[in-house]
Amino acid sequence: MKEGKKEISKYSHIKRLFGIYFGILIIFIILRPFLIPKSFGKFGHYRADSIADNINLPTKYADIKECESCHEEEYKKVISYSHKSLNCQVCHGALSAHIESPDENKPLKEMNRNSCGICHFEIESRPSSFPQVNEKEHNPDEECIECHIPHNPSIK
Amino acid sequence: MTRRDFINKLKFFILTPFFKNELLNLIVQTFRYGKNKFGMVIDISKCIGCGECVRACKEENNVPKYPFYFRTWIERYIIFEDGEVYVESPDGGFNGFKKISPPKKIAKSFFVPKLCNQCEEAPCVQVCPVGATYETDDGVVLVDKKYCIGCGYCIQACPYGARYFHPETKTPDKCTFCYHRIKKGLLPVCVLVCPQNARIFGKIDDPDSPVYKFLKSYPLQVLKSHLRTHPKVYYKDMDMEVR
Repeated sequence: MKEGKKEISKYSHIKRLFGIYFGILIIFIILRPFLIPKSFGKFGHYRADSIADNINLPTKYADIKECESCHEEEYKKVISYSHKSLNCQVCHGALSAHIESPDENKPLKEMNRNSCGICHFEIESRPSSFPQVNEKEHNPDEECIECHIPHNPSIK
Repeated sequence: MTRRDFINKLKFFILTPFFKNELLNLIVQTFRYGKNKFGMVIDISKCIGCGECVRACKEENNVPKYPFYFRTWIERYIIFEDGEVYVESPDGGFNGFKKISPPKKIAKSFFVPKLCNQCEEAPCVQVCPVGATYETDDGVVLVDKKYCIGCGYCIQACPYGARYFHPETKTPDKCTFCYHRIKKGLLPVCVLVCPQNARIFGKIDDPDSPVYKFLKSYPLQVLKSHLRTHPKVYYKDMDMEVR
């Protein structure tokens, strides 16, 4: 050891290392409660408020019982014929907005061959008990609604 | 320590793993199929592959309209007479399916709607490093989009491919059984719009729920049961070729 220089302890580097380590540890312990979201761990290893976030998302598809109050005639027609298992929103699109402001948000009313065919064109994978027509043989140039009314699909 | 003591202690150590398993099973069974869990039954023999569930789900849950983001999608299985299996899902069934005329004879063909299986022991929940995906008391696996760091481990972990990376929120997204609807007493949209009532939804252990009746009256299967994820989406009339 040269003279004039401060004598360095044998363990000083370890002390410095531990100093830094414990310093960081103390900062971590102090900051930890502030960094963890408040509801974390209430029910498990997740943020409990997130359940409420998921529940509060808006719904676009409505309950079709509300359709009956304005469109009673059509509603009764649909539930008494073979399309009775169909929800109004299958053909008319999401209706929540229409129920809130009926004049501004009109439901879908377009009907062409494809909107019927998406269910009723013949495909080998469909259950054979389901009513299907051959796309090319069953009056290929005519619209379905010329013969069938969607609310009561038997022939006019 | 005498030799006798040592052997006695050794016996304990050897037997511990067996007892540990017994204990773990006991704990798991107590919590599994707990009260008030939601489940879904899909009747494959009824599905006509119209794709209405896919369109409605995208509309309700703000799923991007690109043909590779789905919360639910439909697969079409065609099994030829020589045993070859052909599986397709054009746009996930968004635009329905078209008739194909293959050169070979078809033995059987059917549609399989798929969605998140809401596993009891979900691999996606296990791998999340921050606790941003979790199972609720109702048995529904949800994503905490505010807390998620977007690492995407859960997308890789899901054996059913039910998760996708949402390009707008930059977090994974998946089917939640329409959690915002079922907690308000409404049905999930895919169940609501299914024209064939091929999807049945309700509480698994509630005697009044249609799912309970289905579970008690029909033989049902789950997807990839060998993985022991214990899904809560059950399939009726499922062929062995369905993966």
